[in-house]
Amino acid sequence: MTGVLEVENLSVDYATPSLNVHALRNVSLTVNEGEILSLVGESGSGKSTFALAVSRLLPRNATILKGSRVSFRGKDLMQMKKPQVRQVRGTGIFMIFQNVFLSLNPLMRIKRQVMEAIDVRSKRTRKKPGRREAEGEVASILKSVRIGDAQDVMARYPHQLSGGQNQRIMLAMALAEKPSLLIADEPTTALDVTTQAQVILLLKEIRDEAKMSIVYVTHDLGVAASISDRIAVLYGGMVQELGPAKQVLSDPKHPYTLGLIKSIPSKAKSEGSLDAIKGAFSWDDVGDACAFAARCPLVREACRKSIPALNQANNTLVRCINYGEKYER
Amino acid sequence: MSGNTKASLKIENAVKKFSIGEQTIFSRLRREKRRYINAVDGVTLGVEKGETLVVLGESGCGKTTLGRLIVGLEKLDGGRISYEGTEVRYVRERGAPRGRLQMVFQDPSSSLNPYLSVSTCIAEPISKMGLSKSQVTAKVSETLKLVGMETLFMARRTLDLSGGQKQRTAIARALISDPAVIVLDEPTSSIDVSIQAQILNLLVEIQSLRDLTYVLITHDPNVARFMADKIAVMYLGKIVEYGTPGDLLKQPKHPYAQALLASAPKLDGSSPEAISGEPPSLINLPKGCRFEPRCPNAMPKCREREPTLISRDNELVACYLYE
Amino acid sequence: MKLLQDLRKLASRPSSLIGLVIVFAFYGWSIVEGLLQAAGYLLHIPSLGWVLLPYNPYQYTLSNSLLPPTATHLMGTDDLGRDIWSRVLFAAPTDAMVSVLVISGGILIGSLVGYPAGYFGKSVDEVNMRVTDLFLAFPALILALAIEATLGRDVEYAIIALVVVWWPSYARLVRGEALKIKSMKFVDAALLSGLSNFAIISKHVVTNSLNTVISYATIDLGNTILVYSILSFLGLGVPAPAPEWGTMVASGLNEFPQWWWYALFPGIVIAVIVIGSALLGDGLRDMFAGEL
Repeated sequence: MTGVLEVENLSVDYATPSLNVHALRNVSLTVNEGEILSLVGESGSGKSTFALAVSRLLPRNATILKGSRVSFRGKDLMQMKKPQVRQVRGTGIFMIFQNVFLSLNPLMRIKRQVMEAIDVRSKRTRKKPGRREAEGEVASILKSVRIGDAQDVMARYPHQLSGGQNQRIMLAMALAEKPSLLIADEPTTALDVTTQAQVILLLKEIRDEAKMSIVYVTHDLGVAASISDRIAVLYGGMVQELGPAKQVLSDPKHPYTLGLIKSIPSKAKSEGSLDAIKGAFSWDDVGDACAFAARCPLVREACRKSIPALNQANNTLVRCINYGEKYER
Repeated sequence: MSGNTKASLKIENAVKKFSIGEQTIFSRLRREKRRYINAVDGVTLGVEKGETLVVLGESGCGKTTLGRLIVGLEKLDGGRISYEGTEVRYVRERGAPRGRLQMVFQDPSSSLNPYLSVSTCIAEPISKMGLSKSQVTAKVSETLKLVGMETLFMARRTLDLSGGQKQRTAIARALISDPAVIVLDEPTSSIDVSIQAQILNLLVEIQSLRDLTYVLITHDPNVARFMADKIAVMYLGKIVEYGTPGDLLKQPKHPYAQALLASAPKLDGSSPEAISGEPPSLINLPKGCRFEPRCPNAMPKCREREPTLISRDNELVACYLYE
Repeated sequence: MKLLQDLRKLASRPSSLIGLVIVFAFYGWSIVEGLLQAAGYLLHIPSLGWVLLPYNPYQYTLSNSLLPPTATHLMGTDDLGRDIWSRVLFAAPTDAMVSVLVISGGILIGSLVGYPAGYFGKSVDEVNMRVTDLFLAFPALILALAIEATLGRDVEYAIIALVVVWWPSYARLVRGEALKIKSMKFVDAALLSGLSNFAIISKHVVTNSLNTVISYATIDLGNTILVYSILSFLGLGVPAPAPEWGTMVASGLNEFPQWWWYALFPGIVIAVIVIGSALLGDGLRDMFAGEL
């Protein structure tokens, strides 16, 4: 069974004045139909680069290295020229980014943008709603992402709204377009916990109704926990752990995953200090050794010599020599 | 009153209004009445010396404004805020040197001037105290060590630091003038999760070292659980519940507090519960309880008059369910 | 060290490299030649001013008049047989000086008006910006003409006139920056540290607006030279027989189009410098934004 999205050996470099940054290295993932896969990571993990690479929206100084393959429903996205990417959106990929203006057109009023999303969907499903019906749908979708005063907001431009409102509008467009694959990069960070909860429920609803697959990029393990079927943990541009969400959260194998879970406060200060991961991510750690070695409580000599390969441990993939000594480099 | 006579930091009926809409020459000529919202609408709290009060709420509830009122960055429109008897003075009024009340802001990238060195940023609160250059340098390096940073960072531009390092610098700046109270506005929301734990540990450590009083503002119940001695839940400018983390977080009484805690994502994979209704707006406040439009337990009397804080099982709650 | 890094960044993009070369060549030459001219004036040895030039810019040989561009006269000669290239080179320091003085004056006055307007807002903002609007409402050239008509025709008066015309755009620019910066939390932190408003403006607001002002001013250098050339074209610059680019274009038009080089070459030089400063300013802006 081929997945809706198949990524093989995706590697992306950024060229900066001082050096070449390896933002993503040999990332391979598959997203199946109707599946929600979360990419969890922090600064330097490469998770946002992943979302941009798959959407073909990388900045000019980024290079996708040879050997990388990204295909959507069998179509190789890397081979497509720019105009065809628009067709890809038509066939069903929708992107929501933290940078509002990557998803929203600053020159178009909100109403028109959401109508456009409905249009794209109707071209795909061959079911075109009448104008009044479509307008009604716009209003109800905006209400469902809790935009109060939908009539007022519909007439505005993105720059006239707050960051949180814009994020909700992008979600609204996703809901309107009902893509087969949604790539969302931190779609709920600017939102209140209560709105976020609503959005998570909505996304799950469409997934159930329309079998939409979601690649959900986030730094928040809690959010990943409440929405994902599978979780991929990224660190230093590589997948460190990949497996069913329940498994990864209840029985984390990679020391980084374990550290992340432990650093979420679950006790009072009187019960002792938090189990923090020591140190911080540094680009110096991205090289020919395990990127997490500098901060790992279980580090050994071998960790600093080469990069461990992704090994199978139960039904999870882990990149750590504690789970089998195979190396990539 | 939430708090008691032992409180060192006293907030009594604090009110802060903001006008909405623009005031132009034309609207002034037409003598248009200005409309106001009360971002902070009669908040009374007390914090004991060495204690941490967490103000828990979502954006728009007034918690940031309250924090700014406490240090004097905003001017009170009503009520009184005092520390150990001395009233807190608005920053733009000339007077005795400041330094007793300090603040750590949410986003360290905008709370530190990117073009200045770490040392210059940290030294700012004591730059007006007439200390000699070597005295200042000594204090800066001492404070840097206190926040776990090496002195080699002193000459670096803040632009070149990582998120965690920036926040440590901001904390050092807040500490250097030997304050008694530090208001921390979402101090860990803008930094990586794996660093958050380090910063929280650091804050607890410094608090006991220097016997500091913290007012920590956050929307994250996990942070509240760890840091708080007392929690005050805020909604639309008012405190709706007040108690210890043990009581409040385990068994919240106010329907909003219950909804807030239920909607926070948890690691066990359960779906967060969502409350219905529009996000609140301060512009068209209902006559009665502010949470009534979204409250699953709403009763007719909730729409008539606002409930006040009453004492219940060691907590304070503003809800007719408990009268 | 950081300067070298920045220069390398600018040089990495072809357009800003061109701008850099043009601007450096122009001002570099102007400084050298300007010093020679000043020394010549002070020591009463005027010939110092043309020591580095192919010909004496004042030397006229009527038999050589209106010669086309050749190897000996790169830009040809004018109606009095004077070498145009030498005159162009000789006039350069004047334009360089005008541009620097006008921009400096504009920044100075603009800052005094604009920073308080943006930072304090309310009535200070209203008053300052209405005054600014008043000056902006005047067509620049007409205002400059009026000022010179009153004061007199010479380079100093041209500079004064131009500063009066130029400062409002800087007032607007720094006001915008001040508005942006005052809402940054490091300003709040400075307030909590007890810094005075003046200290906050100079330590925090100005430092964070330097990048914007520098990029804008660099592009503006070319503009001042252009407008000054227009003024001297109209006869309001340095009086004859001193060479002046604008004046040369004006005289050259009398011989246009048959003896086209006379009007064209000084015009081209002006255009090249305007474009060069625009390219450099653009490059600076992108470099500050981190895009290089």
